Amino acid sequence: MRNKAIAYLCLLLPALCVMACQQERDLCLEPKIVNVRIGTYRIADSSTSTIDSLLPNANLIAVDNDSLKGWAIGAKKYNKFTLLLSPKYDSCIWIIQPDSGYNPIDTLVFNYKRQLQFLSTGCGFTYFYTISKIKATSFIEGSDVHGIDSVIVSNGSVTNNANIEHVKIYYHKH
Amino acid sequence: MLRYIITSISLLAGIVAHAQVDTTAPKKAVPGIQVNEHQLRIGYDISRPIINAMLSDKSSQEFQIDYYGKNTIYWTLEAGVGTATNKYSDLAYTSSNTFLRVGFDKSLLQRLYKSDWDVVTIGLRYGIAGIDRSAATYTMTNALYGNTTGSVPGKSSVAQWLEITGGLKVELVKGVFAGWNIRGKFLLNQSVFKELPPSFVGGYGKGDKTSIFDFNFYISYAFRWKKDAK
Repeated sequence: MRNKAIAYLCLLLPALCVMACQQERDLCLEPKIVNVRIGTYRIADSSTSTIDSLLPNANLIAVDNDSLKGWAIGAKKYNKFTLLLSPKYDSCIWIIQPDSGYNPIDTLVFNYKRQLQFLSTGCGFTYFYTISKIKATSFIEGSDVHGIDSVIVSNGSVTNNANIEHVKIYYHKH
Repeated sequence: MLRYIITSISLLAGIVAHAQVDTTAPKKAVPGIQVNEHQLRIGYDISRPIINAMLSDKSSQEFQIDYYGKNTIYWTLEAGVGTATNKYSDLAYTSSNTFLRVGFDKSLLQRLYKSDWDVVTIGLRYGIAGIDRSAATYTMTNALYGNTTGSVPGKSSVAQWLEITGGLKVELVKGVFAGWNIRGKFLLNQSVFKELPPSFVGGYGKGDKTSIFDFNFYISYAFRWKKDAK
C-alpha cells in the first residue's frame, strides 16, 4: 500500500507539469495590423518601361472626417510604403506628396469592402479588405499640380500577409 | 512498484510522441488469473477543481464510469460540463458546454492475484460536446482612425473529437482507486469553430486547437458483484 502510494505520486509529476503550464490567454503570434502596401514607380524617359522611383522626401497624409492626419512626414528616398484603410467606412482618402513642400501633390480615393476576420482567441478580430477601385488625381500636361500617371491595383486582397504589394503608383516621367 | 514505473514511462513516451502502442506488450493479453466478478467504477476528476481555482476564466467538472465484465476491457463513459469567460479589452464573450465521451480502456497488466484490480491502460474515446457561445463584442485599435467596436451574434454548435488515452489506476484501499489519464485529442469537425471558437470546451480543451494534450486525475470507487454461475 505504501509502495503503491509512493509510486503513484511519482507518476503524477507529468500531470503536475501540465497543470503548471496552463495559461489564461494565448499570446497573439500573428500580425493584427492590416496594411496596404504601395510601390512607387516612374515611367522611364526613353521608353514605355517603368523603373522604381524613390520619392525624395515624401509626405503621406490621411484625410479622416475632414481632418488631416500625418502618417509619414518627410520619408526620405523610399519607394515602398504602407498605408492604413479606414475600418469605419468602405472608402478613405490619402494625400501623397513626393517631395515635401513642393508640387506635385496627389489625392487617392480607395474604395474597398471590409471583411471581419477572426484571427485567434489570443489576437481577436481584425478587418481584411478587398480593394475594388482607386481613383487618383493625375498629371496634366503643362501643370505641376499633380504627378501621378496611373494607379494599378496589383493585388486587391489586403490581409495580414506582409509580403504582398497591393498597389503600384506610376509617376509621370516629367 | 518497478512494474508500474517502467510500464507507465513507456506509455507516456509513446503517447507524447504520437508513436505506436508499446510493442513490448503482448498483442493478446492472456489473463493469468480469472475473476468471477463484475466491477462498476465511478470516478471524479479531482484535478479540475484545482485548475478551476488556478484559472479565473475557465472551469470544468469531469466524471467517469467504467465497467469491467471480462478479459482486459473496461467500457468507459465520461461526462461533464465546462464554462469559459473571456473579458479582455479587445474581445469579450462567454461559452458553456456539456460533453460526453464513450470508449474503452484496455489493461496492459496481467492480474497477479484475484483481488488485483490495479491497471495500466491504453484506450480510445469518441467525444461530443454541445456548446453555447454568447454574443461576442470586439474592439479593434487603429493608430490612425481610432478604435472600432462591434459584435458577433451568439451561436450553438456541436464539436466532435477522438482521443487516444493512456494511464493507470491503483486500488489504494478496497474499492477506492486513484489514477490518472493522459490524452491526445483530435478535433473531427474543425470547421465548426472557424468563425469564433470558445476559448475553452469542457472535456476537450482550447477551442481554437485542432489537437490537444490533456490529462485527468481520478478518484474512483468500485462496486463489485459476483457473476451468475452458469
